[in-house]
Amino acid sequence: MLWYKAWLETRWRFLLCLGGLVFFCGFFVLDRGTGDGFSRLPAFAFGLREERRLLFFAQQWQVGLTTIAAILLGMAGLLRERAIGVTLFTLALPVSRTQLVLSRVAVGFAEVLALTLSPWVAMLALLSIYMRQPIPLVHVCLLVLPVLSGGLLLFGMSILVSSLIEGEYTAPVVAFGILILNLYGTIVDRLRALSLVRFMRLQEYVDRQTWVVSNFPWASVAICLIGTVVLIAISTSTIQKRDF
Amino acid sequence: MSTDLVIETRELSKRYGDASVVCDLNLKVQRGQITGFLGRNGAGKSTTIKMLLGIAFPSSGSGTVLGRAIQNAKQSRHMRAEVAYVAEDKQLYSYMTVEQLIRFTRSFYRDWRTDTEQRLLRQFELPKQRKVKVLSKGMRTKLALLLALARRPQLLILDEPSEGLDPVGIEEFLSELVAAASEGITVFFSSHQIAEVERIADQACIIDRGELRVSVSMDDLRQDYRRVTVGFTGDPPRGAFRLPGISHISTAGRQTVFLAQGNADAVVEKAHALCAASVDVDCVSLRELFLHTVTAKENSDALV
Repeated sequence: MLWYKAWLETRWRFLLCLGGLVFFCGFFVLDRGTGDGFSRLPAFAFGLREERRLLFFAQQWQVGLTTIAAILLGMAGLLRERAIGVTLFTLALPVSRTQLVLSRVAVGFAEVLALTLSPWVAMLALLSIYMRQPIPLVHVCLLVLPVLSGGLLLFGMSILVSSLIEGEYTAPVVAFGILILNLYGTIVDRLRALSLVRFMRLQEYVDRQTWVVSNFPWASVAICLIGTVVLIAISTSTIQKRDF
Repeated sequence: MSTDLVIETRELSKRYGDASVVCDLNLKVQRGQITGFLGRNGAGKSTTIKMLLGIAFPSSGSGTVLGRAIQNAKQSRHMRAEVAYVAEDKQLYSYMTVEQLIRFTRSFYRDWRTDTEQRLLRQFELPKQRKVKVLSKGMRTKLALLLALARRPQLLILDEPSEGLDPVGIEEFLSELVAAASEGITVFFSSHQIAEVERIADQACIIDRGELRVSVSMDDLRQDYRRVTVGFTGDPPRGAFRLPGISHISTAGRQTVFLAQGNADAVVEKAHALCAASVDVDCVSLRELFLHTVTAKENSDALV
């Protein structure tokens, strides 16, 4: 039942983010796909190139919202519970601290996955229903993977921050501070290679003529996933040793 | 390690930086008894309880609860399956309803007593569909007690349990504790309400500045402890009453008060030998013992 607790804790944040993501991405596809708003719905046919371009720009929207959502979803846990005084009840349950952390992580992973995939389901449904376009699945998968792996890394970072820093509002401020520093890295040449957001947006891997993704950064995806595991491991270890 | 001891600590200590919160605590709690754990604010009661439950880690020393080492995470987890704990501030998950919280807690305990759950829901008039965040502190306390008792614990640990309850609620609460003890549940509770401890406890432990000062059964307190008030016509003689078993002494004017453990007769005899004007021997209440114990250092200059 720890998953149930984790779900109840994060469900409003998750549902708000999910609603926001689906709405914005769906709106974007309808608005841009129909050229001048919704006036020419439902039959506006355009080529595969335009479709790829449209989905790429929709992905840019998604990256912005997913980074915020991933951090928000990681903001909970024992230190936040300590700030609101409920941690003693949790720690008196016959479960290990590892189980407490990992149940949150499991629910958070599922939520990040849902946040990553749901907008695409909406967008592809709109494309196929209203615009009668074939779905470029490979292109979509290549756009989704960086969002998912980057989102998981940000979620892992958020879990770590909420395991290290006490206070109901201090941890979110620090986590968003780290995100802003990372965004700053996208505009500074020397730090560009370290920018997570830049990787997630795939701007340097898309051909601006054909809008095909080439030289996909598989190594970065792997680094993000390994980094997520490391961050979660550090969080678990930190919580196990901590006095409450 | 005795099997009759539900809680046993040996030289248990907790330091936060340079501050020593619990010092070399040797605590023993007998199975099946109600033990009151008394102390002033900041005396180390809550920290001791947290160490017993594996919520805080000891700086040194060791301890067992239900025969399981408190320093061992795995043993501590198994121990918590048989222990119920009601924390001081009774904060529960505010985003759950009463029913959701009961269902959530029930899932961790195999021996959950649905009959007890239903009985206490009715008795405490807890609204099942109401969110915990809108419950008063008294209602939260009752809910916390329900969650603690319905899991059929071997040991019930409570930190300031009656805080926030109205007089009727306190009565119900104390009755439940006594009933739990009669079913074989060991009860260990910290409290500032000495009258409550005196009323229901079999044993009282007094902690001050992190050190266990007194551990006494209520029967022994009634039988062995006496307050001897000796009045003199002049200034009380200094140093004449250095007798074994005199726990605490205070002097006010020409009157000296002794707290004698087991040898009140010797004090009376000595007082008569010193031509005391009056000698009164009375029973000692737990409140008196507590106040004498926790103010002993402050009164040390009054020793005669």
